[in-house]
Amino acid sequence: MSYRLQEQPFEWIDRSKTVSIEVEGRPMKGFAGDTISSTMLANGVIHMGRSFKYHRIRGPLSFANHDVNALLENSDKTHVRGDVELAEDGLKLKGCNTIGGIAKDKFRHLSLLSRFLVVGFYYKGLFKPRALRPFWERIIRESAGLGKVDLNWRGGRKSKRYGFCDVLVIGAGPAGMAAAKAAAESGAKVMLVDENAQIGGSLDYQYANDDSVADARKELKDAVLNNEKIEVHTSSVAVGWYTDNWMPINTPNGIIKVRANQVVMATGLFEQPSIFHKNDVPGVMLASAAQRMIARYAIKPCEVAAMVVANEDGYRAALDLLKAGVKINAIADLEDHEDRGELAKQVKAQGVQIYDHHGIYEVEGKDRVSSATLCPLNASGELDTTRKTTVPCDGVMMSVGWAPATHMLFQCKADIKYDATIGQFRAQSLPEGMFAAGRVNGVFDIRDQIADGAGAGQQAAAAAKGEASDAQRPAPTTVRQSHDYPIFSHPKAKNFLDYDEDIQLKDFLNAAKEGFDNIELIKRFSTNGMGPSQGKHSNMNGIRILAKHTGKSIDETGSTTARPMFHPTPVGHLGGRRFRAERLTPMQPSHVANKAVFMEAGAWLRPEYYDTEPTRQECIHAETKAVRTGLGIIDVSTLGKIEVFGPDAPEVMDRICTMRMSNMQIGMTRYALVTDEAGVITDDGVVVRYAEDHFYYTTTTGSSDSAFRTLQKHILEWGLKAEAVNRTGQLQAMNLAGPLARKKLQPLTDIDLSEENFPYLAARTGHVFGKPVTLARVGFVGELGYEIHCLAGDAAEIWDGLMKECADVGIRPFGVEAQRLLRLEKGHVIVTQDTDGLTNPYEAGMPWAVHMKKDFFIGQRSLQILKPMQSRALHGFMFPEGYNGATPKECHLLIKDGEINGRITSVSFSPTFNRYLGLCYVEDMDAKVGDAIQIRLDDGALVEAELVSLPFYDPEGKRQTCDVDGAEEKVA
Amino acid sequence: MKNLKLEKAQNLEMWHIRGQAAPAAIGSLSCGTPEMFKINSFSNLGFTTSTGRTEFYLVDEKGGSVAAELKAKAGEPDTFLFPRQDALFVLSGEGWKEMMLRVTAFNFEAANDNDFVMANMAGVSTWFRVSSDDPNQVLFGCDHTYGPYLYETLSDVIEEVKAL
Repeated sequence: MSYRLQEQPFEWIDRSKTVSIEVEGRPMKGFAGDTISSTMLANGVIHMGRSFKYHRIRGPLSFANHDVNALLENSDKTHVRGDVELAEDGLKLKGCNTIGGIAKDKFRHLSLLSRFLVVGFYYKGLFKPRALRPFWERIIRESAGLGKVDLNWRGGRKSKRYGFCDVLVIGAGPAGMAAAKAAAESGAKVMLVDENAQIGGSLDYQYANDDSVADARKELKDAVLNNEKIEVHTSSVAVGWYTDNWMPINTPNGIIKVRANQVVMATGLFEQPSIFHKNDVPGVMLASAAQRMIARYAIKPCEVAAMVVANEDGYRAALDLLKAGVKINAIADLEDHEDRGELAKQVKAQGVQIYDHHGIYEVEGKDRVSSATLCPLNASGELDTTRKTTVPCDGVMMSVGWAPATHMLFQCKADIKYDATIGQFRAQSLPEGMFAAGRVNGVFDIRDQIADGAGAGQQAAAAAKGEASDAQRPAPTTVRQSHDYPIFSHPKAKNFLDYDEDIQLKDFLNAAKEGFDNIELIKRFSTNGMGPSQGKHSNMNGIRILAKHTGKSIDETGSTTARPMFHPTPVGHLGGRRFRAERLTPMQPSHVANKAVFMEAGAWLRPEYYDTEPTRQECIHAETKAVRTGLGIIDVSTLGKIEVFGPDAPEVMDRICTMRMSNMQIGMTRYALVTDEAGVITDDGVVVRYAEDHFYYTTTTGSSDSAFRTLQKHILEWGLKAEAVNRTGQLQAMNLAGPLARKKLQPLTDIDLSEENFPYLAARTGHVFGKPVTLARVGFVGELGYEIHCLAGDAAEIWDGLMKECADVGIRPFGVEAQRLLRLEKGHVIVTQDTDGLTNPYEAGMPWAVHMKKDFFIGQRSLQILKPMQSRALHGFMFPEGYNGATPKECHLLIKDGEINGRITSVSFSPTFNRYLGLCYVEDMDAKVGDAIQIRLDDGALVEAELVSLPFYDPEGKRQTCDVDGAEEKVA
Repeated sequence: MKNLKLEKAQNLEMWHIRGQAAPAAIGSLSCGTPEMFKINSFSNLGFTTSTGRTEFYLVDEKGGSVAAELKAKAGEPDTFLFPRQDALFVLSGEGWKEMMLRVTAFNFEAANDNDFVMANMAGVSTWFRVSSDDPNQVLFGCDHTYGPYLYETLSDVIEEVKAL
């Protein structure tokens, strides 16, 4: 039997091209343009999937992915939406959420247990006994979810892009096309977006056989497709609204992030099902679904139909069915067909039996509907089940009402109220920059829809230009389009409210009876609207049921919040192309050539160590040894570098740093400690004074931007005559350190490096290899050393030159790990490693860095208060020599009398001292050098260490003043 | 977008001019004083612009005459010259604005003639010289250390859009 009809006037299929797909091993043929669902139907397959909870067999419902009855999967995609995804040649699919396939799903009889699986059963039934919870949890977890994730999935990212337009029109139906046309003709740049594969909307399936709209259709389509001011995106979904009309459009090629001056929502409606016994049996579908099948894919929905209708659209669908050769055995009109107008008369004239004031009570059929039973409605709107009329049919079409696609109107805070005249929610007022048109706006007559769209387009175009518009808009319809309560109870239940979640009428009512009488609460408890279709076919009926149960109006009951995304959106689309900005210093090629192993430090890539020895630790120790005994060089370009200048620059530096900077001599450096208003250490570095009114200030790696922002902000707030420039990327820096530093550097520079001219903590400007530099004699690693700051364009040449000229003494580049060890031996603190979000300078053992006698610095008042309130202090500690137990680590706790008494902030094995040493906070202000501390290691063992004075290495600082002990000569 | 081309502009130098006397220093150059956030072009890619009351940028060919005039101002009171060292690039070819939609939220179609634009591109703070004299190319620059990342990223995006 062929389910394919003769050619339809606006069909989407290309009959000249066939495609072959395979669903669960069954080969199927379709045409180019067919969806997976239409291909299955064309091949006589109506079973498209299994339901989520009871694994009931399901067929097409909306045929527009407003439900997930047709949800499939393959190795590439966890979810393939059969209703809207194209049948591409060679596609192989299987059912989602089945064990053994759609036909022979092992759980297919689960609905027999439905009386035990009531809504919220897992909250209640599985709560006790407690010992069984893990068992039930495993069962629930294995059963939950739709689709099997391929853990070897490799990404499949789609690039995002930005888009801009004067007017963004969502929905390319009659109102949307008219809006786009009118806006473009008013001079606006327009973007028109529709989730369907082709423009036209309801014009091409609900009005496909209505010759009276033929001219309007042609005019609109021609105008939209041929106007260069209109950019059309089909198969593209506006997935959300964000502030200032920022709307992501999910296209097949990735997301377009559109910033629209004005937006016209012509999003239309979702048809809603009637709720009756076994309303999910395959063959029961929305009337608009049947129209889509016929008009778009030339698929005959069934041979013999029964219908339940509550509006004129139902009769329009009936006429389409008749024209497609479907026999209609009965139409149950929930009201009176005499009120439906001309279309009802045409249907009746074709001999169709219409049952006024009737509803469908139940249908029969297991794999496909075989009959429908109609009952009359009594005065209270309930079915009189004593008077049944059963008609045979293999299809049941429901046309009882609509729910507007107001999701993004809710998101933009439109004032949306229930319009009882029409029977749907409608925006009473809209925020600036937003327009609604067509049926979502309550305008139903097709000519009115077009006029409404045109008016909205003109208004939006005018608003984009900042002009007023006198465009006329038709009033919303005064004819009710949706029935107040197309919902009917049945003693055997199986009357589904939410097809995604298998929620029956009794489930929802029971939830309400349990006290979940708020629409948001009952949604969570019952899970109504929480499936993949997010309430598109169930939310409105849920509101109606709750309103009736509570005796409240629809408005009083309210609607749930519609959050983005409008449709499920692939993670690969949300991720887009990966833009992970990375900073490299000019010395990167040299680091690579020297076998650097890199680590991330904020956006920077820094050498952690150089892989020249058999193990990581041996590499680090070899680098450490080179600095202690010969010569090492480290790339410290990642330090923040800020210049502060102007008449008030000294005042600025005094206020920013805890130490006084205004009394520093020109050509000297000083340690710079920075605290916030709470007295918490936030940064440290070195300040160089170039001139009375000119300072150069380094910050820690990663904080240059925040330090610069803070500086700029305060300069403006304080009204001081000073300026700041962030030169972090413009200048690069390297630290040449070791006893041979001066000896090897002197021949390469025009700066006199003698102790007399260039003492410890001095800074000088000059040249190295003829390149302009600033040299600073600072000693973070505890050896004679020169920080060389230079222009980025010169840095690589200087670095490579030093490596070459110092090769004779075995210069080694050293990485971050060796530097950490070297500074630890010297007892220097690393801000954010040895400090936390509460540490003040007194706790960190740096009272010497706080100059309270200054008039002001940031954090001064807090530190005055905190100074006498210290409860912890930073100490150095050492393990006994020869300790060979588990490795102590940063953040290991200090334990005293069974209680936490502090924690380690830095620890490492020191080759210089041949033992572990580190820094720790001790929460005991009486703790002193020589005291024993207990440290709990990973294995739970407590080990003893001893508090020692800081620094561990060279406490007199002789190594930094060079020539001491003849170190240079010894090495030489 | 088939003829898009990204090149490193290595023959240019860039200066950042700050200080209370910066406006006077810029005003004395032969190229004239630029308007705020407007390009004041004086050669093929050379230009000055102002980004604040006392803040200016100058781009010139290496060894160019205007840069030489500027460098002569070094050391003058309240005039601070900083060589920027930015990574500089030229993107040329029809459709460069369309390609930019894939990497920056700034709408170049809406830019006015000779705007000096500062925007985030592919996660990097970047400035752009948009000149009506050169509608088919844009000069842009960023922090030196982001240069390799930006060049590689943009090259990938260009290859992607060329394949469309």
